[in-house]
Amino acid sequence: MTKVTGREPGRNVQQSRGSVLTGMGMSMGISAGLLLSSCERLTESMEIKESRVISEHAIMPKAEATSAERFFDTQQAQPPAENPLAWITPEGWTEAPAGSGGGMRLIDLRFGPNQEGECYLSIMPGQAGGLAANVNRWRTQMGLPPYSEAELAALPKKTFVGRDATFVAFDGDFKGVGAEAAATGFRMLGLVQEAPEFTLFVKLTGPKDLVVKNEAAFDQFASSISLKR
Amino acid sequence: MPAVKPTPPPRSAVPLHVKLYHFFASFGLATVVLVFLLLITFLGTLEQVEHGLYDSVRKYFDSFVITSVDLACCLRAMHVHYQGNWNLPVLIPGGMTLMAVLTVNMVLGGLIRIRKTGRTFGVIVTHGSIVFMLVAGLVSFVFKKEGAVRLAEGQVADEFQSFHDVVIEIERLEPVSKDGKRTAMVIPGRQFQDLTGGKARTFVNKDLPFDLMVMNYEVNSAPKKAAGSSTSREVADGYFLQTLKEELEQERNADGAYVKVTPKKGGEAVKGILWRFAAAPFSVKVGDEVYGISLTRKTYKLPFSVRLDDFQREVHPGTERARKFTSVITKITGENEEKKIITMNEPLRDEGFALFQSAFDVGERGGAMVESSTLQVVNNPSDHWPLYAMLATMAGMLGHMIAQLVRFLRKPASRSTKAFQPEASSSASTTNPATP
Repeated sequence: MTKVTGREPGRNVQQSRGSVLTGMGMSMGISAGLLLSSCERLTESMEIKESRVISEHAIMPKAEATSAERFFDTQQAQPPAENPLAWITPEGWTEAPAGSGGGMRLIDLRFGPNQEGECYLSIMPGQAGGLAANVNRWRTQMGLPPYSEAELAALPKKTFVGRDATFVAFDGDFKGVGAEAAATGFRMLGLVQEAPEFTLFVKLTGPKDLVVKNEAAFDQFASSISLKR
Repeated sequence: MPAVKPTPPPRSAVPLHVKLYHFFASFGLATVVLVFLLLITFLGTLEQVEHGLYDSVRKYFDSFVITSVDLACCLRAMHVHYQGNWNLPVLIPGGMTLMAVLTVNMVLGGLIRIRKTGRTFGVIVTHGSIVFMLVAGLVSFVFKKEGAVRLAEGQVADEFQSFHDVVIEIERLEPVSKDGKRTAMVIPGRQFQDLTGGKARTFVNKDLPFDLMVMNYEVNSAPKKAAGSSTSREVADGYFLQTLKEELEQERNADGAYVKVTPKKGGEAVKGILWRFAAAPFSVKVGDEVYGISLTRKTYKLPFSVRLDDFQREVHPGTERARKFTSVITKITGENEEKKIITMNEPLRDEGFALFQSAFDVGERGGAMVESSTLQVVNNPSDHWPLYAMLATMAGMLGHMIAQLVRFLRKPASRSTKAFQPEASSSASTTNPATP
């Protein structure tokens, strides 16, 4: 005897043909809709049918921009970063052309009939080797022996940017970094100020007579340096 | 007298639609579909390593047919040392086909064909909720909008841009309309993204004083100055588009295309380059009017405006690692303003849109450093449907299990004798082997 259950195919179909067709139609419709929505006939020429209203908050683009502007290819020199320091350039002194001094020079000045006098302010992070190493490096540049600890301790102080700085003055033959031969009869003035996070240097070099004439200008320049507000 | 062989009763012909019904409602079809789904998930996951998520999803899940499998890539993804190329031509149904067939199968087998009694109620609910989940996927696929809006502090926006959908927009820049309203004609990406390798198509509109030909679409490219370069590429205004290798993250690709603008009233045609990261649109003067043509991401409208009042960034002490990004915004609807906070894992949900904290940037604007916040925007009508479907599925399965347990416990006498006769057991009759 055949067991007849509710799952017997023919019977079930007879009972629910309407709902079967509805279900099939719905499901096939979803599938067909999917298929059709993804198909679009692309022809050689097409009409633009879509448009949109641009928001009032949207930035109006530049009209008639050049290709160089559009593709960031302007290659214009960037303006130099603004110096955070303010100072007074002594009379007769001039600012050196940008990049002529090299290194970390925040202020770079020249003086003298042939611009042979040089004075600049530089900054180094941290202790930059310490006071002794820097002063003795300068002394070496002037052809002089290094200072002892006692001599270093006895160096005079000057007020520089509101704090005490060590002042040095040497006479000798100056051989700066990269120079092939030493320039004889030179004088060097210097200020070294050690702050917790950096060390400031002001260094002036030139023929002795010229430097002596400009010692007051050096003090005037050093005392005029301040941070821009 | 020889025995007469009895004539067999005539077999009733099964109509075609009944045959189709049995086929589409069958458990076997459901099994085959699920095996294929497992296969394409496996292959798609492997190919994603070298082809990127976007391309893998498009190839395996947003497609009707899969025609090739990058076996070399799959081997490498499984840490098998293989350096060559091995693209195997195949014909596998894609995710869309499989989902459509599974939906048909679930509706016919799991909802219509199944015997409807109190005992099968849980099974029917389970099948119904799975169908609902599939429909949620379809609704999400068709209607979901997803993109991002980047706002500098103080800036207001009521639009967001799609992550993936590309369009060409044409806007008249000069003269500006008297009422100040701006509109753009939009060419959808599907109408020009096939124009690679020398193919071209012309786009026309009666309100435009020119016809626009788009050609040589590049998925990832960079404009280069032609001067000093030896190139066989087309040059427009001294530049050409250099083809770059496609990025795995699709949104990082900088697509581009060449265009040719031909004035309708005669005059010289002008060639230009569209590039998605260009600082300004390609502009063309026709008569007294200047038009800007740009290749950009599709823009969607928000039902409200958003102003970024403040962006706050917290990092772990001593590091640049993000601890918390927060955008303090004002939601503006007409005259109404509401202060809102959007932070990590705490989006703003309103009017069917969800705005998530996505990224930030610090850049210059008007000579001052300004913080910007990028908000990911999602609008999905079926956002919570999968959750409801999962809850319904759980309820259906739990109900069915409890009903089975109750029936089992109520028939202790028959349990010992019928437990080893599955064809006669009452529990076996409640599940339909023909249903998935």
